[in-house]
Amino acid sequence: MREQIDIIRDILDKQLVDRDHTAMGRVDGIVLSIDDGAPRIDHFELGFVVLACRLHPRVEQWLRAIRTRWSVRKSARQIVPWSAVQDITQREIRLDVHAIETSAFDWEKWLRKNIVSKIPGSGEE
Amino acid sequence: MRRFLSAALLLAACSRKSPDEQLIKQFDSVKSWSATVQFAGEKWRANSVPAFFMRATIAAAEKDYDAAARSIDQSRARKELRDQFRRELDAARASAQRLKHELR
Amino acid sequence: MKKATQLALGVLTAVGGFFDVGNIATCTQAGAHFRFQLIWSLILATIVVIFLIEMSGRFAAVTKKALPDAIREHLGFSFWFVPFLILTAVHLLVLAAEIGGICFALHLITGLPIQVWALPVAILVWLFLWRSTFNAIENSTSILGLITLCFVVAAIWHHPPVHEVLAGSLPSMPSHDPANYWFIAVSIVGAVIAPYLFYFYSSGAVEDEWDSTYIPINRVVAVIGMGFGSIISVGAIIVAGIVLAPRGIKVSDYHQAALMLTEIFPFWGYLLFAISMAIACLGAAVEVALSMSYTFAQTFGWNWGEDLEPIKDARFSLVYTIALLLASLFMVAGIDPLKLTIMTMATNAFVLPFVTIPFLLLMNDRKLLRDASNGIISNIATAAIVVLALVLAVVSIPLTFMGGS
Repeated sequence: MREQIDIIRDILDKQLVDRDHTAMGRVDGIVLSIDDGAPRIDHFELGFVVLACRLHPRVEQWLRAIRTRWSVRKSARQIVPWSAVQDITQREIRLDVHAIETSAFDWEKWLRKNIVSKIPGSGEE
Repeated sequence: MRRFLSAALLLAACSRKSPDEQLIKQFDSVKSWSATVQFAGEKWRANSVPAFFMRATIAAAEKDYDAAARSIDQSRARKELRDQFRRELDAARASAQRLKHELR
Repeated sequence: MKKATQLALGVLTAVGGFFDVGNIATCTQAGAHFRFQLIWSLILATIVVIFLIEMSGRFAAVTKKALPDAIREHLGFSFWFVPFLILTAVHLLVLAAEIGGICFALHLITGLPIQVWALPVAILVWLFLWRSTFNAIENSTSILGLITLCFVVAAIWHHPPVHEVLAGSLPSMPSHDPANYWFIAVSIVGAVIAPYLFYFYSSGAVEDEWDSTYIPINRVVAVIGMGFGSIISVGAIIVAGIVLAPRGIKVSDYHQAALMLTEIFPFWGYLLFAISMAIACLGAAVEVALSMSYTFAQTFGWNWGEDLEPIKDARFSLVYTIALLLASLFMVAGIDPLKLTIMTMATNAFVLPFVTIPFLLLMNDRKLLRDASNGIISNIATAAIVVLALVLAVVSIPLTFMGGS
């Protein structure tokens, strides 16, 4: 039987977790590709810029300008291919990746290394 | 724009209370503060509050008295009313002064 | 057995979370200006908050999701964006007011100026969050919070005229100064129905791993915890009404409120007031700061949890760190803590529709909550809450200019 999924209701904005159930962002955007006239989900997009463009093109422009100056993340839009999706449950979408190795954790890693680990009592050995 | 402004001013003028009422309302805080200073003074003599609390309370009260003195000067209320409030304000100031003296 | 202790702790936490700087400010003002006449607005707000807390706990128990998480997922980012910004602003204001309350309490104890305490207090709250786990924070602040019962003891020892107190429990028209009367009524509602409560409570339920078996416990915690909390606030109204009102002392500065317990406890009253205020505000400041982190982490899908060490959730920990720093600046700048509190409580009332409507929409989603979605009573209450929220939003702005003192 063909499985049917309502992509706006059940996928967009849903929590993403990795293999070990570490939260790694949300589905900020969904990109379809069209093969032989039939659309299919190609990948998810993550990132503040993706969210901003959902609000207003102007907001997106501002954020891009800020990003080029300040961001520690390499690309504005982080891409998660559909092939990485392992499971879709009521609660979350599980991906077959290690969160810490993806760019969803660029900011987290940068903050850990440059700020949090410098403050005593952070749990850093 | 000018029409809008004058309409706004007119509205503000209509909702305004008379100068007498306005001053009476402003003077409420002086009554409240002088009651506070008196009550706090009783409590200080009974050893219920520390001296530094007394000083801070009197300082806050005097700040309010200064503001009240300015609004009495600027008010267009009846002269008798303004004079009466000035006398009350002087009395409040005097009792605050007495307490400050005792605190030394 | 485990559930019994959880029940007790839940009730304690609810009591502790209820009574904070907003209640101290608005209830002493209400008592000092209008004696017992405004008790009704506290009762009304308590009934509303019981419904809302019960709903947010039930929601978390059934879906295992906290509110910001679920709102973003089911209503979408574009829908959530504006309430999220508003909630962030209100969180900051409330946090600043709670820090102001702690600073004032320390000023009462030490005599040093309020401004001096702003940064040390922010650091103290931060240390609590940085070093402790969720349950340690909850349990310690809520047990210490029992000291605020001194307001209830004082109210009883003053032998208040029962018929007057009962008469005040029903709404009535003001005897004087109507603008101020309605302004205080609105700010009491804003103080009791603080938006952070639901976002915090539901995130806490997720941290504690509630499931559907917790629905009855949740109900008891909401009713008894919030009910007890409001008794402390009624105590504060009564004491202010008996001690301050007859002397003509109106509360326009926390120094005036600080005298209210000295009549019944001549020796301890002053310190009791200061310590109660410090602890009530400390507990609330911790909750508000955490609530801010929860909201950010869930909105953007970061990993979160107060039980994790800061290095494991750097973004979560940095949100409360930055929030505390920003909020402490209000006191550094020398803003009067009482004026800030009153202004913030009126703002709380104003933003109520923005932060409750998304939540109430979810409570009726049968797909999400199945048979635990809102029943008819909850829905009537919900409709009443929305109407109340909208009315408050409309009246709170003009009242701020007319009645704010």
